[in-house]
Amino acid sequence: MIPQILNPMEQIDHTFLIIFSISAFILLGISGLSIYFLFRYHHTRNPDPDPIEGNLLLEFVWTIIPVILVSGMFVSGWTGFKAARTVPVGAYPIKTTARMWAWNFEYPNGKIADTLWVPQGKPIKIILQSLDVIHSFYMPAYRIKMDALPGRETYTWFLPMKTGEFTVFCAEYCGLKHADMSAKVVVATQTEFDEWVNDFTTPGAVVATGPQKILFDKGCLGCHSLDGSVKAGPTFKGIFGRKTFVIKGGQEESLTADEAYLRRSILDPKAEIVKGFPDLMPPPMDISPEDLNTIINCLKSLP
Amino acid sequence: MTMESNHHLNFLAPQPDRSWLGSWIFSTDHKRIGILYLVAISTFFLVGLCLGLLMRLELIAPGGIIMGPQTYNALFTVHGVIMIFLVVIPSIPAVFGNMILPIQLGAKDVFFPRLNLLSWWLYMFGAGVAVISLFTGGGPPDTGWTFYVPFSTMTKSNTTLSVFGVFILGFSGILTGLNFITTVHRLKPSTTPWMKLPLFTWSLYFTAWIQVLVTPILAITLLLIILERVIGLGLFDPTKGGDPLLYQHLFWIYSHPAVYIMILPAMGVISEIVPVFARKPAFGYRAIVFSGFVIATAGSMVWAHHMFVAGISDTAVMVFSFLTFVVAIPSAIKVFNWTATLYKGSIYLGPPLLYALAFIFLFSLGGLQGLILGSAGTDMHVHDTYFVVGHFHYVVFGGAIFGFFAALHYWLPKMFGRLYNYEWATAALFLKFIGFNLLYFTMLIMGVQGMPRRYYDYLPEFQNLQVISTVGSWILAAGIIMMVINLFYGMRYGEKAGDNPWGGATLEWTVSSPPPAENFEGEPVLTRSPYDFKDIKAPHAE
Repeated sequence: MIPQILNPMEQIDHTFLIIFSISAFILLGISGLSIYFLFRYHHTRNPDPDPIEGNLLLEFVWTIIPVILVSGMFVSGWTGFKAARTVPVGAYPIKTTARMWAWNFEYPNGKIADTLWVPQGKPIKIILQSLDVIHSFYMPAYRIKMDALPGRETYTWFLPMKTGEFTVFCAEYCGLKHADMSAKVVVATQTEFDEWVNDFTTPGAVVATGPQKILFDKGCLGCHSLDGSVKAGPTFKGIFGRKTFVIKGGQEESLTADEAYLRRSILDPKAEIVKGFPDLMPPPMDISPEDLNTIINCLKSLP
Repeated sequence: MTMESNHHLNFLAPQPDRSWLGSWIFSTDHKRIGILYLVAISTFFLVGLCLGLLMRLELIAPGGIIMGPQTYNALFTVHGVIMIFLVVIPSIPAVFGNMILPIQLGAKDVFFPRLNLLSWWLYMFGAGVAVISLFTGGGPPDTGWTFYVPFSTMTKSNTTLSVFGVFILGFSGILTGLNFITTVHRLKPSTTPWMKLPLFTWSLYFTAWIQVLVTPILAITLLLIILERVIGLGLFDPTKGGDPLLYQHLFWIYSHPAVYIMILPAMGVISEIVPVFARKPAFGYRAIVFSGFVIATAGSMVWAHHMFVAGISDTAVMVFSFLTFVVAIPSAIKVFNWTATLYKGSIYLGPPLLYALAFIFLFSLGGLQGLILGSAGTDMHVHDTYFVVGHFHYVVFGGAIFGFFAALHYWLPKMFGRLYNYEWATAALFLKFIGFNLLYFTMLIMGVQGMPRRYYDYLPEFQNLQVISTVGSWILAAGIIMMVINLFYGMRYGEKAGDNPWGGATLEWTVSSPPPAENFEGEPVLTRSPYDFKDIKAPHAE
């Protein structure tokens, strides 16, 4: 068991309860009082108004009481936030990479998957980074959210309590397929988890230590699959030597995907768009000739 | 003073020496400029409303119903840009500030009448540029009204032009603000003490200061986006050593105070209406003025509460969360004072008061939701969800726009000299109130359940609430259409309003309806406090 950790989810739910209750009380109080006044002091019942201009004591009272109430809310809210920022020692780290429009999770043993598997009862540290625009890792089931930024690492953590399936959403608007950018979360028992994490052949898994690691690192796999399935871009399966139709300068052309074409389509993706796919791919921000060669060789070697 | 004797001075009367169009679009009369804004802002409001209805229709079921994701993303962007920059920010100051402020103050016009006309032209020019951006280049912007980088610097949609349109609109706001500040200082009759200014004047005065002080920051930020896109400046680009968080700070340093630019004038309207219909002075006049000042100043120091999970330091989260709670206090004080104003009044439930009460309820509900968002822990869960969308609409639509509706029902009879139908006005309000809560309260629930915002598609478990929300949007729209018809018909064919249809005590009720072109003959001398109703006959007392 993990001693002495403040579970952020419980603390945050506690704050919700406090603020909702106080708010409901204030709203009902003000509405009830107003309705009573409207009835009691309607001009038919009270033809002569009393020209009261104010009351200093009342002003003082209804300033101080809200100050006390919101101070309590602030402390409670801050406690929950702090708990979500204070990762317990020994938390299990999962490197999470966001890109348009997919999540990838990299485990300490090198396994990379598009599903987030976590062992029940063990604190999980999510280390976040984005490869393109800003995304946000949002897991409503555990009340946590943290933006994933390009060029900067952020983190959050949670304590998976019950086994089951949950969802990670992207909460920061990131373009065309923002609404589709979700991932499945599986909370499994420790035994099931160990079995899964050590099996590099599960669906959606990518072997990070293999030659295909570069495709993951550069973010290609967010839109191009290895298994023939159609994502935002055409699949990499059998790409080398494939006969392809492209739209070039508004004209349709047919070509065979040779090394020169692959190179062009990475460095200047807008020049030739594969027929049937949207013009979405950003040009690489920064790519060395060695990396480019590694990618080309990797694509050539794919089945 | 009767209406007949002043007929030749009526500001709406045709001006034989000018063409009809010229007598409007080149007029420097603050009342005519107010009406120009009213026409433009109402038009854009109805356009924004249609975009909102289309979005709600798309969301009636999961998956694509009537549009694709790119269209949806453009819709919520354009809906946001139109409603915020073209409608809500200018709404009350540009329309009722122009129409009423000089008269309420006792002046013949604003201090810089020609600058005032230029503001309207800048508004129209900026709006024109924003509209052109929808139909040219890479298509309508798809960045969200927040234009967050790096997405806004990468997207192929026509973001540069729409950002430039908003940039121009900013100048319109700055110049109007400058004009109002100067008008209050220079044209306030020397016999009028500051503490006898009407509360609406006070609220416009504070709003004008915020506009002048923070809008330039928005202008600079928008210019930086354009530079990023056009010359690749790299200030916000991490691969060039920039930082996308810098953009968020700059954007919210303007855009959070902008929420107070929207809500303060509406609070001023409510502070004006409640005493008139309760027939007694505004409870705690000084407290209302002072809380307006605190909102205007403290409201500029809470911007980073939009960024609790953006990657800022934990200390910054703590400080901004605390300051956010501080700014809740003056808003609460205003609500308590309005409620107390009803105590021992002689209340007449006329349409303006009903609208004001709807404002108080919706704004209070919206403000209380703000506590959930100000508290750092709960914000982590509901940030960027439907809860924020719901909260925002409670405050800005239920607050600022319902305040605008209240102002329409309160002051249009003064501007056009005719009354609308009270039953229709009440029925329209009822429809709007029901529709509004169906539309947005469901969003609050969905947000707490974890429905992220700006989603074209959603999980099937949200469908029931999404359907209720969409049905709410139809009821709300029906109420708005009913209100527009009633007001429009009333202003043309309604019963004559007389000079003082509500029994108000501020100066605008001492001139004829519609007001004379020159407002006053000579400088008016204040004979009573703005909320001293002694010897003024209330219409219902007859």
